[in-house]
Amino acid sequence: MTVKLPIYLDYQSTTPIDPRVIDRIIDVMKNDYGNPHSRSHSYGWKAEELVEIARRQVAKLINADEKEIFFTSGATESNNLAIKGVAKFYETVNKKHIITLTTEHKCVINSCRDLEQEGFKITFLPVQKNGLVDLNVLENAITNETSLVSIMAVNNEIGVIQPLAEIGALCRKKGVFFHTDCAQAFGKIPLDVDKMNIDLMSISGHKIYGPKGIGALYIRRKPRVRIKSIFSGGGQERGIRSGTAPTQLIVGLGLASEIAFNEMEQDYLHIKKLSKKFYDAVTALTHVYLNGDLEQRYLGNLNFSFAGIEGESMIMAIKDLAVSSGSACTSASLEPSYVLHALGVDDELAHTSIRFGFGRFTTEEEIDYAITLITKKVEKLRAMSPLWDMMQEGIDIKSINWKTH
Amino acid sequence: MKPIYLDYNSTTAMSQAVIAKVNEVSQYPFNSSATHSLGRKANGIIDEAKAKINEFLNCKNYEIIFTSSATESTNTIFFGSDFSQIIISNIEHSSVYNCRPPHLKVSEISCAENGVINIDDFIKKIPQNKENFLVSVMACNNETGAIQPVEEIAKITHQNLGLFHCDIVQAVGKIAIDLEKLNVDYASISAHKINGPQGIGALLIRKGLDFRPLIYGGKQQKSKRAGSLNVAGIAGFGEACALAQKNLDDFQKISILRDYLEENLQKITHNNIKIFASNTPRLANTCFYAIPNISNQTQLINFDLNNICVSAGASCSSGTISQSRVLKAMNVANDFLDGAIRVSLSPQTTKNEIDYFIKIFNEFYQRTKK
Repeated sequence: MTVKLPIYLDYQSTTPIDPRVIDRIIDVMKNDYGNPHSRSHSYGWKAEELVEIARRQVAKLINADEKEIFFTSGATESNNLAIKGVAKFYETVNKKHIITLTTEHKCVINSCRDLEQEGFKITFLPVQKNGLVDLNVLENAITNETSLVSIMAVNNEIGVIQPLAEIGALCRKKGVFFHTDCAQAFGKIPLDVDKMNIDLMSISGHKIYGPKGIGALYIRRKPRVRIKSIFSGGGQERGIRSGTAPTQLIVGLGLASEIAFNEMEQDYLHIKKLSKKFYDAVTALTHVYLNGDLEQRYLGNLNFSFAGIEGESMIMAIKDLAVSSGSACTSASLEPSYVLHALGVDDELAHTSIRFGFGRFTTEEEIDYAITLITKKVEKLRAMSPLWDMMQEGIDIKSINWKTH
Repeated sequence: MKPIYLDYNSTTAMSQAVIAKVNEVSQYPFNSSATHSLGRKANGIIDEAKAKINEFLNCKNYEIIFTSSATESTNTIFFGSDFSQIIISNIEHSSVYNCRPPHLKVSEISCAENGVINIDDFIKKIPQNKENFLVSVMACNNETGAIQPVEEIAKITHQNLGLFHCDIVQAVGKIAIDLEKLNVDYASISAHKINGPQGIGALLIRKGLDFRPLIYGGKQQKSKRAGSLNVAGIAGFGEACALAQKNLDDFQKISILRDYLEENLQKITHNNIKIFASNTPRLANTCFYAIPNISNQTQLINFDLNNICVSAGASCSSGTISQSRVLKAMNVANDFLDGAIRVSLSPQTTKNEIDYFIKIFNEFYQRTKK
């Protein structure tokens, strides 16, 4: 059986759109092109109806009310809106402190940095060696001035799942809002805004086999979370987010959410099978380290560091695989990953880290091909590497790799 | 019967070529930030779209920053720059009109009865001994279609050391837009008004001018607008620009059908009708009329019952049909304010459709007169 090259193993960067979703989008573009805010004719009403159906589909996946879902252009905008929106609304009641993690996505970190410039106090909490937040550290960081805790569900680089329910319970107890960036989690792991006490949640379309250019923000109504919007204009999305709501993209996100709701178990089993096979084969090469906790993980993300190899030569050697080193947003610069750094991974191993992402459309043939290729190339590169020789001579590089900061 | 869509200024049907392009690009998981071959291909597609936009708007000296909408583009400039104050016209689209950074003084330029902004009033509003103020005037009004003297406004703005933003959303594809010639500093544009997809727009900014991003995150678009790029939407946008450029001359021919419509409306009402901005250059496809003492709600219900899609003006405001802010700015008499309807035609609109509209309008008008 032949496989199509390059093999796409970069599902955290973006996902292929599900053909069912493409078909639906094309259908809407052809037939239901109204402006959903047109209140005077059938094209507008039809578009609005489609938008509202999608809103229910998104809400259902996280056990929210449809009135709590606001469409945005993507998770980046949602994260900006959630963090700045809460910060600026509650600033007036002397709550000027926000807590987040050093391993958050760039858009969370940079939204916080922007607020810092404006005089807000931001605490960037460290994570443990396994990539997870220490709940005691979090609890101690919360003060009377804290308005928001923003902690992602699934890390985009290393795939670890933060303990959302525990964080949510803690935040509720302490009377602070809990925002979670679920770009990598929504549609992939079970999420329940009530059980997990989530107050705001960022959602992306193109990470769940839906279109790019669309996302959503969940904002809790009871108890009510207030935010200050970042766009002004026509007052669409009940004043939270101005701009014409893009019907076809919203429909795409809605359908992608519905498919994820119906097929989450099936996707999970498929990915688990591929992930296990890949994990076993790659770790058999020895001196390969999985970054982030092995158990608390979304299995569609395996981020490995290969000892005794140069990072860039590894990427070149396996260019039949479309993979990223670090997250896509920062990988263009090829600087060592700040997430791995936060885990205490040393620069050498951080440089050889590669993220392998699997998803709904990854096949077993593709995984087999990837395993064969990686095995062959790792052995070849190591044979050429002086570092590898040193390791073979018993110089314990590993002991210095995992030091804590 | 398929509804007759005469609300082209609100949003447009996507062209077959645009749909095909979106479909084609949607087949691949393109993330332009990825370092592998698909990332490079995504960048190629984006560059191609930029070239088409550049060709269409003559904007090679401008940065093209893709956004989710013209609303976002405008917000980016208004909130992301340190202007000393802002001057807008009182007929701006709500995306500009409601974009008011709280710490800044915003003054409004009045408008004449024909729907064209008052240049004398603009000159009066220019702050004395103050640089770096922002002026924002739309190229064409979305409700009346009146073409605004933006080239002159840009010139006066620059003479007084201000900067000029132009909302070109309704103008592109309908009249020739040359950013170099207009000499604007910033422009906001949306794809879905020119048969492109909803959910994609752009901010055009003269090279060398800087701003603080509205949306922070990854390093996409030189860190000026974070977020994974909507590659399929951008490709569709580029395609729509290329088509709009090709069809620009044909677009002007719509005025024949529009004028035919207006002549008939005048005949039916024995000239007891106001057609706004009819004595000034306006968009070829736009007819904004009002008949006295017959509310637009009643008219809209009747049109809807007869499968005609029109609007009472801008669609995006509060979602309720109310009096048009633009008409109020034009000092339109109260009798007419409640009875205003915007009919906006597309290049696909047929004479049969307009005849049907005239027939329905006539029946309605005779009925209500009794």
